[in-house]
Amino acid sequence: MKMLTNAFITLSILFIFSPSSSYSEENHQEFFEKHCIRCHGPKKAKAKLRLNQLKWDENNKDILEIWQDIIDQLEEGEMPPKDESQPDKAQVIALTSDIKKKFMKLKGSGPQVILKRLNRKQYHNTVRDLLNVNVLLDNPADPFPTDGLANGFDNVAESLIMSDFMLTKVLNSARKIVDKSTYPEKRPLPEKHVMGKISEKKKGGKRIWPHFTTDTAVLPDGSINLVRNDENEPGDTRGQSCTSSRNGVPLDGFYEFVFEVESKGRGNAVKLMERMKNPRYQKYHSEDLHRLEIYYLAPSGKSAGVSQNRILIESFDLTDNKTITIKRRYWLDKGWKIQLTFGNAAAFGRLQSNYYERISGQKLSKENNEAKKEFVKKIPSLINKIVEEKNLPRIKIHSASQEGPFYDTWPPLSHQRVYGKPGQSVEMTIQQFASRAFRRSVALDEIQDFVSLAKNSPEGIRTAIEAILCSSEFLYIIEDGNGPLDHCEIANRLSYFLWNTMPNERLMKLAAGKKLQDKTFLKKITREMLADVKSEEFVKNFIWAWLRLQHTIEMSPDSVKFVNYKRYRIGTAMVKETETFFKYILNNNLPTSLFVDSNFIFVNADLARWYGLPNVDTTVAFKKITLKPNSVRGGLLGQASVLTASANGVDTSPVTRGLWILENILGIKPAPPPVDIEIPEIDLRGKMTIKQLYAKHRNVESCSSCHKKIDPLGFALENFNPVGVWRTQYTSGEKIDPTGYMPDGTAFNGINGLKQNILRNMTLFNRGLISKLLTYATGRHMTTRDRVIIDKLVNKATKEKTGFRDLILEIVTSDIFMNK
Amino acid sequence: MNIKHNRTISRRSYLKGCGGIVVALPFLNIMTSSAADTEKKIAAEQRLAILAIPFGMVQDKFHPKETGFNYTMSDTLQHIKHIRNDFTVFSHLENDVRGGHAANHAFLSGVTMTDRNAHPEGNMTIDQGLAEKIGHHTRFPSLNFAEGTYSFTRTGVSVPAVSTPSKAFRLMFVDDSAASKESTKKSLKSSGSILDAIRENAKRLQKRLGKEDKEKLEEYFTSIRGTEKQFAMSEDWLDKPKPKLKAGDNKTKSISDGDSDNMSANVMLDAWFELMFLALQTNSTRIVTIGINNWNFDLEGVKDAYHRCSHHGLQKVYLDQLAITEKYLVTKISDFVQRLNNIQMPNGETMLKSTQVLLGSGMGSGSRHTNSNPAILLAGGRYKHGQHINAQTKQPLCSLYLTMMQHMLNDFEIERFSVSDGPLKGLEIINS
Repeated sequence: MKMLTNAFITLSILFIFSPSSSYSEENHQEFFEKHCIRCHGPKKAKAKLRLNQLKWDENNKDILEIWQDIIDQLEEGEMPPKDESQPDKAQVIALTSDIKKKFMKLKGSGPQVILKRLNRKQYHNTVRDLLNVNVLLDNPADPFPTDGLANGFDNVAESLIMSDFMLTKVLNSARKIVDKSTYPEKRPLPEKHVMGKISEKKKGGKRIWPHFTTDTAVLPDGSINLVRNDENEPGDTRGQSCTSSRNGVPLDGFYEFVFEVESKGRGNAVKLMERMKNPRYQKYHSEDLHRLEIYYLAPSGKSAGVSQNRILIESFDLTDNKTITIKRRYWLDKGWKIQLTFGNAAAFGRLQSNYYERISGQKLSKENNEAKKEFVKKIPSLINKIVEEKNLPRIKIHSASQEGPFYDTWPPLSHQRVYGKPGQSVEMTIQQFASRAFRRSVALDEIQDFVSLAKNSPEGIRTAIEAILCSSEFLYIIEDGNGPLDHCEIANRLSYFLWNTMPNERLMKLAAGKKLQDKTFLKKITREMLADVKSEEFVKNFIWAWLRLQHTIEMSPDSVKFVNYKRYRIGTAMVKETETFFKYILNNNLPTSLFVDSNFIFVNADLARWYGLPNVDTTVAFKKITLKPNSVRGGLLGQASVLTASANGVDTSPVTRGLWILENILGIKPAPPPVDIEIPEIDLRGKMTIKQLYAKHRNVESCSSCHKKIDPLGFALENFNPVGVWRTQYTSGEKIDPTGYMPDGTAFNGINGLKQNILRNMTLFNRGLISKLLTYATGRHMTTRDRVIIDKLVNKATKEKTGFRDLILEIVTSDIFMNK
Repeated sequence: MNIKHNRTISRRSYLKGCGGIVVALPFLNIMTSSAADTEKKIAAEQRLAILAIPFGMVQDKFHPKETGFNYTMSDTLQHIKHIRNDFTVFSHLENDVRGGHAANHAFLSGVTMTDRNAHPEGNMTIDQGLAEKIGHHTRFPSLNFAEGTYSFTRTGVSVPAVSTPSKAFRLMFVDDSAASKESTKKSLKSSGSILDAIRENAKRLQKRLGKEDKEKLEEYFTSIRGTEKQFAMSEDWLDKPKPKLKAGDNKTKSISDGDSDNMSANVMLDAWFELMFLALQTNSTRIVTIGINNWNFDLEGVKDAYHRCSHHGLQKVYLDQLAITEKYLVTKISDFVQRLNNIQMPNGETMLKSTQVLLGSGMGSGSRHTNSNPAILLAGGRYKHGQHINAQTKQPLCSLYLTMMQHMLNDFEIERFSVSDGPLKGLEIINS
């Protein structure tokens, strides 16, 4: 099976051949002579491999990969071929353990780049923590180019590029960050705004609207009703809403909000609610609790994130007919607003008049005359009347207020981070900032360039701070020298691994106290860090890379064909499902086999319907549910996130899904297809079954060697459509045949058959998972030099069924993590 | 732009006098003596306009059967037969990348991001290769519109695109306020001293690093040098006024007002073509790329998404819809070509003669997810057009790019670009 790794196919050409006599281990050569040379020798050289000429060369990673392949082939019994005479077991063990010993002597990463530029997320988080500045909304990393991916990972040293383009952006962002961190002398006074007041006032001849605005009428008692949700796509601002002000807040700062809200009329007038036929519109599910959503709304003309102008902060399932008070303190950047919506309300089309026609049952006249204009003006209050009379489903906002800006201290801490404590020397200020920014203790003579910049001009200090924010020691994670990481480097590696940000003060103190090379202590710290909420960063980023979830965005599901995918926020929910599932296994220290199959999953109401599972009433929180025996949803492979990532947004292909399983679940990376292959047109006009179509290219010799291992795996997932919904036939009506076989030829039926086979030997799965964890943790590719240590970890996970959290502890204290 | 004046004026007084009403600077036929000579010289320079599409075109329908000048129009090209003599169509240009959608970004470089390390120029795309050489002549070395997934620098950085038409308009045609210019100047100066300091600091770091990391840090030093160069250029441009457009043009007004931002794909594409035209015409840049992705055009007879249709599997229902979309796209190109053909330049030529227009994709077949034999069409420039060239998978796509670069730079000694080491055979440039 290991034939699939590139080594034999491409790398063996690279040998520098030399006489076999220079090879010292006579017994290896003896073994080769007896069992291998006939095919892999001077005469035949199958797979372009000549074992009589193979030398040990620890500096050549291609040669090392071949040695690793020899171990794998022999241990897995792939070679010599079954129809040849088989070597003695003891001989095989003698040979492989001898080679392994050689591998064990190799320390460290070998010749590889380990100098890592902070990626976008790391930069963002690091700036936040370094300056204690709130950059959630106006993210200084936004203008940076996308980070290069290596096997799905965005934190691998080699792929993180620096360019003049990027450096220009870094310079700009540094200036903005310092602007944002520093404040004028005078502390602004907080102002209070409420809902229901006349919103317009004049300030310096300009009209402003500082109070809450809404697109519905205010009732006599000062409350408003949110009744509709007409978003085209979740997150667009067409939904009916209540917004904190029209212009946004006047200054950066904390703002305190108090909302009194109540869910009313749930389940009433269901017929009326369900009248919208167009599948694009949101349906009202009377069995779900009403959901209040709170958003950050970007200043007009600015987008928050990729294409939307608002960011969901939180949502609540509201208990029926119970007024609750929500008090929140949000940081808002200048111009930003807060918005409330009824997330799972029915859609009625965007026009008030359409809505009125529907709920009143009266048609408005088509004529556009004065009488109609007058009438239309009254519609909002007429709507209110009907809504109240019929007690239609709604979220009533009894009151809303905003007060701010507030600051914890004045000037805020970030100001002091830039300018230092009052009366402090310039040298001291720069040294303190540089030590934090470089994430190590810095001597004064190392930073003379910045100190002189600071002393150069009246604005010198801020220029120096900007310069430090553009310096190589800030922008790169540095691990210099060879051998074991020093305490400070461990603190950095650990912090970026688990929290994706710079080490906090405590970690830096522990590093200064030289505590972190102690493995028992390191495990204790790791456990604590995993328990911290910041470890969500690890969960999110690791899953995203491991399971290639980027694909769900790059090749996002066809919005016409899978209209409900966006409608019911499946894209967000499915990622949340996988995160919650992963976290559960991590926090409860459960075995890794649960990633392959489990009798539980986490779903919300929308996802439960998506999966055809019984009703779950929560639309916000994810509930753990126990699956029926033989359910197809257990483990990662039944989750919509994985099934969407392994499709292409339009249809499924056993090749793509098979490859996905091979690479991400079994950890095997096949060689790329050879050049100059004419790939046949896939004829879907119904002459052949899907199985027959794919069989065609497996009959071509150059395709067959890999595809006979790829496609059959993919067929196991054919029962899921491109967005993870169960199906038993294709849209053409053709019945789905989910049978296939494992790379070793064992046949299986459908997804559960596949899972059983993976569970039977968890070595491959665990090796894949552990290698990827290590890649993420160290920011470099794993090579054959790392194999011995990885295999020890794999053994723990497989044989001892070590829990997942303990496995992370083992990884952190492994030689791979603790060395350069 | 055919404004006729019977007196000659200097550029400066012209600008002064007309306030906001004026026009594209370089190609106005009214300047005198040396100014006019400069105009003529600029007019004669080659420009490049690219439309990059995501799923290729249905190959059987796009590629003509016969080769040479007497080929019969294919189904798709039939729609633009009226400009037959203004373009050349190519088939079987070798595009040795794999990955289907994942390799579409290699359209303009012939090299994917993952393979970039194996090539001396990385996966630098043709537009960035050209921008390196001639970018300093214009305010913008190059411009990317709409989707930023088609353009990469020598170091593998994906060059982001301007994503909304109104923003592109502001960048090109709206002058910064005096105050903002002043603050830009100030920040350029402070950036200069920052760059000095971080260079010195990085030199200290370099001494501590191992061999591989030292090499990696070179990227940082190169970036500092590049940034310094860029800043020097920005300073030069800062005080030069941006070109002014004729007031009262509804199309440009609506673009600058943001009417086409985040609108339907059709409206956006029209706006981008307009901006591409204006960018080239005002010599704001000489290199523009419009990149489109999985956009769903609002077209009569198309109900399924573009991406869905591209997975046609030979089924008629999808092929028919694709035919409509593809007709729409090639027609956009022919409209643009005709527009250029109607513009008279100061040197007496049409603007088409000095503008190469490239349409293509990094994907060959959206249905099979292959990248070989992509649909490629080149119009404009001083080529001897009107033919179909079948490269028989013997000449790489990059050979065409090399030819285009040679033409752009008027330097026929350039020996290589990306994976090509010779110009495309059979495509002739007529120097008249």
